[in-house]
Amino acid sequence: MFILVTLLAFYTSALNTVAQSRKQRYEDLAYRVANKQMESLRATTYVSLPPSGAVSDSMLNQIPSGAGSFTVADYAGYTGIKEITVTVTWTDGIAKQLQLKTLAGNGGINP
Amino acid sequence: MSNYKLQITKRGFTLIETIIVIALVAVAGVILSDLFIGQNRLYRSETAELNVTADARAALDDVDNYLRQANRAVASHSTYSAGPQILILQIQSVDGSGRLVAGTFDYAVYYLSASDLWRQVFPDAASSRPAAAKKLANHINGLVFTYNNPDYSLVTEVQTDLTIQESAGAQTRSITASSKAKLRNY
Repeated sequence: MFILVTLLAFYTSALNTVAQSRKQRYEDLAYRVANKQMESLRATTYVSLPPSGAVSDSMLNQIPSGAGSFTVADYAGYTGIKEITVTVTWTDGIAKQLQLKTLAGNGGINP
Repeated sequence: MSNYKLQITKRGFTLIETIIVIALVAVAGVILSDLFIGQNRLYRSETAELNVTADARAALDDVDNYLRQANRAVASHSTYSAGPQILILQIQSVDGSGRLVAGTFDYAVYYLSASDLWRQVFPDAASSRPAAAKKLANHINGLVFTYNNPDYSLVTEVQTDLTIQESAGAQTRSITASSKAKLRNY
């Protein structure tokens, strides 16, 4: 009986490890997707920045219910500056979300 | 007055009892063996899962880190020629204090050796950057560097697509990840 209880504890621990490693993989892939999209938007000229869009990346296929989108909005209180937000969502038991933000300036942002 | 004698009879196990005990021990043994084997299989597959995820992250982060420091991509250095599986970057040298040394450059080469991804640094004599070869990832199943210009001297952005695949017994764990980074000053 003691051995069975010990093995059951091992199995419970192992299942937690499985869940953690999946979580790590999904978060890592979500970050890669968001980072790539952010790099693409950073490479876009200020005037050509689209107001919003969907993220298309094959890495999203490796994440359950993976999807991504981005928005480009005027940064409140400043002219010539836009805030870029990239969001990746997925489902890992519960809904998960990863968000990257940056600012883009007309002619660059310098003090 | 009568005398009573206490008679104690010593009995062994019957054949049926012995067979039942042996059968129970055998069943318990089979269950325990199965649990141990299952546990071991799970351990191996999860180790492979963690390895591929960690290797992909480490490799892509390293490539991006050097890309962001690089002045430009170059077509060749030492015995290496740039291409879809070899990335050569020119990086400004640094002195012992970590300050940039004007006009001198180090080179970092990313290449595959068998199924391992390596980064080799070729420092200038005036540089304090160590001349080191570092293995970034094992079990590479696919690697492609995509340049945004066919002329290496005009490259400003590089995308790295990486597939790592590791077998764990009958199972195989793999991850395909990609990253994109712009060179310094772009």
